[in-house]
Amino acid sequence: MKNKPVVVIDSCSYTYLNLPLSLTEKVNLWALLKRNAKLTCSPEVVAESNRNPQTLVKQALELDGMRHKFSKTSIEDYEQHLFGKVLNPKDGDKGERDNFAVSLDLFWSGSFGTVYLTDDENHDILNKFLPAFPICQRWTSFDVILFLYLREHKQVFSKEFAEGAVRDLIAHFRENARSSLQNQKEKEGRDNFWFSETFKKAHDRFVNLQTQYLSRIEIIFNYLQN
Amino acid sequence: MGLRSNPFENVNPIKGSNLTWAGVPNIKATVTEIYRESYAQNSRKIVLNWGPYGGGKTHAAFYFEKNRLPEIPMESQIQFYTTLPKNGTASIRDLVIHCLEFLGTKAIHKILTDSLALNGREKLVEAIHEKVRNETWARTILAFASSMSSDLLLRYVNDGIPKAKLGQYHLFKLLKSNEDFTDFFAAFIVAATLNAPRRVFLWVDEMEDLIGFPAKDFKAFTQMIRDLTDKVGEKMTIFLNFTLAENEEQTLRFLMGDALWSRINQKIRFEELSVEEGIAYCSDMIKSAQLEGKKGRQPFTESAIRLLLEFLPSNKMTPREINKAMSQLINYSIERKESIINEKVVIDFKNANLLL
Repeated sequence: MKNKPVVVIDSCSYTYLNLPLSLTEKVNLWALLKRNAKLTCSPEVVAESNRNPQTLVKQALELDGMRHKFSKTSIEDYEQHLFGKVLNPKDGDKGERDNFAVSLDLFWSGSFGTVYLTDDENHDILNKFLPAFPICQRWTSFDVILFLYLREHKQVFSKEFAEGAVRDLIAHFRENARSSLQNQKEKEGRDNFWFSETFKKAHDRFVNLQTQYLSRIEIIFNYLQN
Repeated sequence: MGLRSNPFENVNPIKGSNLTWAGVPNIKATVTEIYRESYAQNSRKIVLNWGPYGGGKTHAAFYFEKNRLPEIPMESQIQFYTTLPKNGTASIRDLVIHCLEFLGTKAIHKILTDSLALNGREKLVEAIHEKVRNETWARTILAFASSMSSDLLLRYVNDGIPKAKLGQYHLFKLLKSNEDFTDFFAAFIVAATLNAPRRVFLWVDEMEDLIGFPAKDFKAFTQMIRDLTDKVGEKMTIFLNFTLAENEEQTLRFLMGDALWSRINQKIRFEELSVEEGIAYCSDMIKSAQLEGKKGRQPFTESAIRLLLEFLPSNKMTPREINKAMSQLINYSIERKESIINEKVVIDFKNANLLL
């Protein structure tokens, strides 16, 4: 692939893409994405992963090697101009914010194929900054699956594997949602009715998400067939 | 108020209780017809029951467990009910165990000994072998049919027989793989229905939880349903209950996967009720709890029921939500010592913000 997109990854998406695929042990999404894109991230994402006790040494080194080197100006300067202050790690979404600074720095360096990858749904960058700066696409891990299916359908990533990857991720997200609600229920003394009604809403969201992405895979499949 | 009890009290159906079929006569007729068809045509069928939360799918499963075809003896109607097992990896094993435990040791033993008496050893083994393509399971079923011990089969499927003791019971191997469990269950169903007037009805509830299965488990489970129906081949109906908030068949196809979707023979939509259907539903429920001598919809007036249902948003016009609203209204009326529930009571009830 001559021109590869530059994908700015966050730590959650890094974790999701590294999950094993249940239908094949030969590849995972991360390995495929590395083959088909240039990957980078902000120094804060590297630091976040280092702080996470579940990160393997190999993974920490891998991410460290992808750390973006700012060229236009420093990260602190970007933070000051974009967010009105220099962020510190205690600011919850420093990783996402600094990744946006990376995207902007890539733009000023002449890169126009940047992808801002995050699975987080509600943060300022998505709601405020990405709409204001049309300099990159926003992807989730599910979009990575679509991209990889399009790129690798002839090699290792068939329609079955792409659909399987969607199902695996949805199952993982749903289980995370269930256990996090269970914890919240116990912590806040909520009743079973609260739990089932709240989980029902989460379930419906996952139904929509799964349907959306499986139907997109079908659209790509039909295109590839014709 | 002239009621033996609050007929709307149980918002969720309770398994094993005497349930009333209320309203939606078309759904009752359709399911009844599917049961009849199984006897008339020896059919093999997968039926998809789908619709919103609280739409009556589980209720239908519980109702038909107790109220099967009156013209057919109960022992000729083998009914299994299970929810989709939550552990995807063990889902096939768990489904088979749930089903057999649901039937119980005595019933299992009687079914198999009857089949052996009816068909003889060789015919039984041959027929299972021919359909399931596996002689081990044919001979395993024969061992259970010949055994004096009625709980042997359940002990076996639950890993209760050590490998070293298998020979003592004329058994060959333990159930290990998904294929083992599928074939074993198919062998049991073939034996149960062989040359007998018996039919099997398997209800799998909460199929929407398939979305929680990783792809490998999803594939294995949907394949198992296909293999089971293919191997048994006849005299079996599988009802799959699938809750879906939206009204899009296309969504179901994606969620169930093409492999299973292509095998669905009939779909029954458990829809939200119209106001008229809601009134019919409430009327049947009220009648089921009225004291002798009470008439019509007492203690409700028809206009009161209509008004209450008109207050409910259309996506809440399901039996479960109607039960909630009607039950709260009854409790409110009891507190106010109302003997008749008319429009005024309903308006007061709504104005008191009790209609949640």
